[in-house]
Amino acid sequence: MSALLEVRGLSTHFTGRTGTVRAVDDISFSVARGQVLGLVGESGSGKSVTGFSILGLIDPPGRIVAGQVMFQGRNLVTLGESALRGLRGNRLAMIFQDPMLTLNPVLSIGTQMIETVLAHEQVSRAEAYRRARDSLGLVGIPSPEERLAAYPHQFSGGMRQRVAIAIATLHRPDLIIADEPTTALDVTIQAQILAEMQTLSRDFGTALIWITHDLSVVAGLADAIAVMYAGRIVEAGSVADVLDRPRHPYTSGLIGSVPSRNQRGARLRQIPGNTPSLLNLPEGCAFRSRCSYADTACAQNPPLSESASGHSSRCFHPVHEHVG
Amino acid sequence: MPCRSAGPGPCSPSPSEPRVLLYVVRRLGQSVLLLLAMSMIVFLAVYAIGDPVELLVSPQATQAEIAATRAAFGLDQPLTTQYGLFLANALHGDLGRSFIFHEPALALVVSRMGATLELALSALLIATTLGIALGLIAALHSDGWIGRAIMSGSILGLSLPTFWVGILMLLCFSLWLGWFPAIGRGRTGDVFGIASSLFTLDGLRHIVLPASTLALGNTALTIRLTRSGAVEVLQSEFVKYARARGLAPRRILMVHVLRAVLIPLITIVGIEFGGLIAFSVVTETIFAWPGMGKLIIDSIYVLDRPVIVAYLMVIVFLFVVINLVVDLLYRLLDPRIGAN
Amino acid sequence: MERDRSPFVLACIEFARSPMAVLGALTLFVFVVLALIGHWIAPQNPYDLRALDIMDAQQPPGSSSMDGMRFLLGTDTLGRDLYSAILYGLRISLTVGVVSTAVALLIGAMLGLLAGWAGGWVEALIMRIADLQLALPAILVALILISLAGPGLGNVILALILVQWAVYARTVRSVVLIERRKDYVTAAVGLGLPRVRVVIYHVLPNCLAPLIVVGTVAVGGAITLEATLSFLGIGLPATQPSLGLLIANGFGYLMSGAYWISLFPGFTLLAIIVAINLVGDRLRDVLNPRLRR
Repeated sequence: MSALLEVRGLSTHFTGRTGTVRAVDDISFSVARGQVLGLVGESGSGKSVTGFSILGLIDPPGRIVAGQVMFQGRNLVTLGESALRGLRGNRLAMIFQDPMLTLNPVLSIGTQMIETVLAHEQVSRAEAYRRARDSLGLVGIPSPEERLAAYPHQFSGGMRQRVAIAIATLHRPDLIIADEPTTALDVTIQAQILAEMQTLSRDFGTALIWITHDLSVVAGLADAIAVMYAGRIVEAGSVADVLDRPRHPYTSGLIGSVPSRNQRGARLRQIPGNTPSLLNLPEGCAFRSRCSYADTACAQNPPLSESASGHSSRCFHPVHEHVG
Repeated sequence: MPCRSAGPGPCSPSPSEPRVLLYVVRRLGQSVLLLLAMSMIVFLAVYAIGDPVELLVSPQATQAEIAATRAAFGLDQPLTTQYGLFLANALHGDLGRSFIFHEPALALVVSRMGATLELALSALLIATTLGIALGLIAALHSDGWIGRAIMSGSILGLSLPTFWVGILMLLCFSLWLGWFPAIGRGRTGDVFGIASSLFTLDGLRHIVLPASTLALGNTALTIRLTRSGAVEVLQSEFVKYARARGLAPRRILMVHVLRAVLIPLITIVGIEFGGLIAFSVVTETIFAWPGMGKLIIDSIYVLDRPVIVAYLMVIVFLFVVINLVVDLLYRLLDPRIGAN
Repeated sequence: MERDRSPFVLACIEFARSPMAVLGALTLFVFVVLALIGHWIAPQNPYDLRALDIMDAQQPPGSSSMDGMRFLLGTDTLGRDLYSAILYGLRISLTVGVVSTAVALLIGAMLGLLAGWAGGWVEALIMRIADLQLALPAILVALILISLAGPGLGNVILALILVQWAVYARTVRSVVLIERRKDYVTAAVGLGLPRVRVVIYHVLPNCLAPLIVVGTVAVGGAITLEATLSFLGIGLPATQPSLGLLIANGFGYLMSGAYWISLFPGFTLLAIIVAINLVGDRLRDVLNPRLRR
C-alpha cells in the first residue's frame, strides 16, 4: 500500500515575546489509503497542532518551520493558499471537538452545508441542496429536509457531531482528520459515532486520523497508533504492537491508567507529575522528569529505534515487560 | 423566527411565535410606561419652573385672556387633575399652539420631522457602511499600518466635537473649495407623497456636508465596534472551521464574520440613530437645515414653550419607537434568541 | 528595586512609556497653567470695553493695533484681541468642565455606594434611573433640561452633572458588588467595625482607579458638551465667554472671510479634548487591573 499522506520531519513552532513553543517538533508518520491512525496524547502534546499543520491552518505567531506534508504526491507545506483551499473540505476534511463552537451559530445547517458543496463544485443550488440532504440522511439524521432549515443550537450534541460528519463527507474525502470528535459526548452516543465513522471509512475508503487523549477509543477503531508527548511522537506502530507491547514508559503509563475489565478492583495507576511547559523546553527526553527509568543518558535526545514490524519508539530504556 | 429555508425544503412555522408575541406586548407596555414617565417629567418641570399658563398663552396675552385660559384648562384644579387634562389633550395631539408660528405646536414639530429624519438616516447610512467597511479592514490588518491608521483616525473622530467638524467642513468644502452649498436643504422632490432632499440632485448636494458632519462620530464608533467584534470572530472556532471546509476568504468575511459582527452591532446602530436625531440639533444649526433640531433651538431663544414641550414629547416618542424596533429586529436576526 | 516604589510611582513610570500620552499630559499641563495665569499674561482684558477699539475690529492674525499692540491671533468683530479672549475662555471652559465633573463624580459615587451597599429597592430605584439616563444621549438630556429650565451658567453645570452622574454610580456600584463579597470586608464587618467606616476605608479606595479613568475622559466630554451648548446659544451667557461661545461669535463671520475668529478658539478646544483623551486612554491601560500583568 502506498501512503496517502506522509508527514516527514514536521515542526510547527509558536514564537512569542517570552520564547518559542515547539508545539510540534520533528514528527514523521504516514497514513495509507483507507487506514485509521490514532494520534494519542494528553492535551498540549501537539496533536491538534499536527492536524492543523497538515491542513495549513496555522496562524501567526505559529509557523511550520520545517518538514514536509506529502499528500497524493504534493507537498502541502509549500502549496499555495488557493490550491490548499481547493483541497480543504474536499479531499482533506476536518471534524472538530465541539460543533457547537465550530458551526456558525447564526447560519442554518443547510446554508453551511450548501456553501461547502459550492466551494468545491460548480453545481446548481438545487443539486447542492440535494447532496446536503442525502449526506445528512447517510449519517442517520431523521427527516433531513426539515433539519437543513434548523440552526446549530437546535440540535443535540450527538446530532451536531453527525452534522459535522455529514459536512466532512460531502465530497467523499480521501482523508478526514477528526480532532477529539467524541470527547464532549455521552459514552453511548460516542459508541454510535465511532460505529458511524468506521462504516463511512470502510464504505468510501476514507483514511482517518483520529486525534484523541483516550486510548480506549482508538483501541477499537484504529489500525495504527502514534503516541505524542511534548510535541514529539514517542512511539508508533500497529495497534497490537503499541497496546500489547508498549516500549516507551509514557505509553505504558497511559495504558496502565485506562480502567479495564481485567483490572477490576485493582488500583488504577497514574503517571506522576504534570506535562512539562513547552516554552523553551530543554534538550533531551521531555518525559524524563516523570519517568522512573530516567538517568543521565536521558538528557540527550533519544534516537528513533524501529523494529522489523514498523514498531518505533524514542527511548534509551524501553519497557520490556508486558502490561496486561 | 424568520424562515430562512436553505432550499426548496418545507419551512414549518416556528413553535416560538406565541412567545414572541407575548414579548412584543410586554415591550410595548414598557414603552407606554416610559412615555408616561416622560410626560410626567415634562409636565412637572414646566409646572415647577413657571406658571403653566405660560405654556398655553403668548406672553402678549391680556389679563382676561390669561384668566380665561386658566379656567379653560382647569389650572385652578389640583395637580393630578391638571396632569390628567394635559395627558388627555396630548393624546388628542393637542400640545398647545406656537406663539410664533400661530400653529398647533405638535403639527409644527411633525412637519419639520421629515427634514431631520432624512438627515439622520443619511448620516446613519454613511456611518454604518463606512464604519463597517473600515472596521473590517482594520480587523484584517490589525498589525499593519492601515489598521493602525484607521484606529488612530477613529480616536480623533471620537474626540472631535460635532459642531467643530461642521464648521471645518463648511469652511473647507463650501467656502474655500466651493464643492457643496453651505446652507439650506435645497430643492426637495416628491416620491410616494414624501418630500425629501434625497430625491433631487440639488437636495443631495445640500445634504452631503451636514450628513457627513453628523456621521463622523458614529462612523468612528462603528469602526471601533466592528473591529473589536471582527477581531474576536476572526479568531473564533467557526471561522477556522469555515477555512477547514475550504471556503473562499471572501465568503468567510462577507457571510460568516459579517453576520456574526452585525447582529450585536444592530443594537448599537439603533441607539446611535437616536443619538443622530438628537445631535442633528447641532448640524441643523450650522447648516441652517430646516429640521426640528433647528426649530427647538429657535424656540428656546424665544421661549416658545408649547413647541418645546411638543419637541420633547416627539423626540422621546421617537426614542421609544427606535428602541422597540431595534429590539425586535435583534430577536429576528439572531436565531439563538427565543430558543431557550 | 521596583518593590520599594509606591503604586503611584509605578503607575507614573508605566504611564510615561507611551510618548503620545506624555505629549497629551504636557499639553494639558500647559493649558491648565495658561488658564490659571491667563489673566496676568493676556495682552489686554478682552472684556474691559475701554481697552477695546472698534477700529481694530476683524484684524487678521499678526497685525498691529493703532497704539502698536500686536494681535498674535487677530481680533474679533469688536476689536478684541483673540489671544487674550482665548486665555480667558480657556479658564471658563476648564472650570466648567472640571467643576461639573467633580460634583457629578461625588454625587454619582455616593449614589453608587448607596446602591451597592444597601441593595433592595434602593438599589433598584437608583440603577433604573441611571439606566434611563444612560439610554438617552447626553446632548438630549442637556437639551431637555435647558429647554425646560433655560440657559445660564448654573443650568449648564446642572445639565453636565445630570448627564454624568449615572456613569459614576454604575462604576462604583459594580466595584462595591465585587468588593463586598471579599473576605476582608466580611472580616471587617464581622469585627464590628461600623459599616460607614468599612465603606470609606476599605471599599472606596478600590473605586478610585476606575473613577479616575472614567472621570478623566468625562472632563473632555463635559468641556465638549458645554462648548456645544454655548455654540448653540443655549449654554453660557455672553458675560461668561467660554471657548464654545468664542467659536459661535466668529461663526457668523466665516462667510465674510474672517475665519480666524472661530478657527483659533476651535483649535484650542480641539487640542484640549484630544490631550485629555490621550491621557485618559493611557490611564485606562495603566490603571485597569484586568489588563495589568
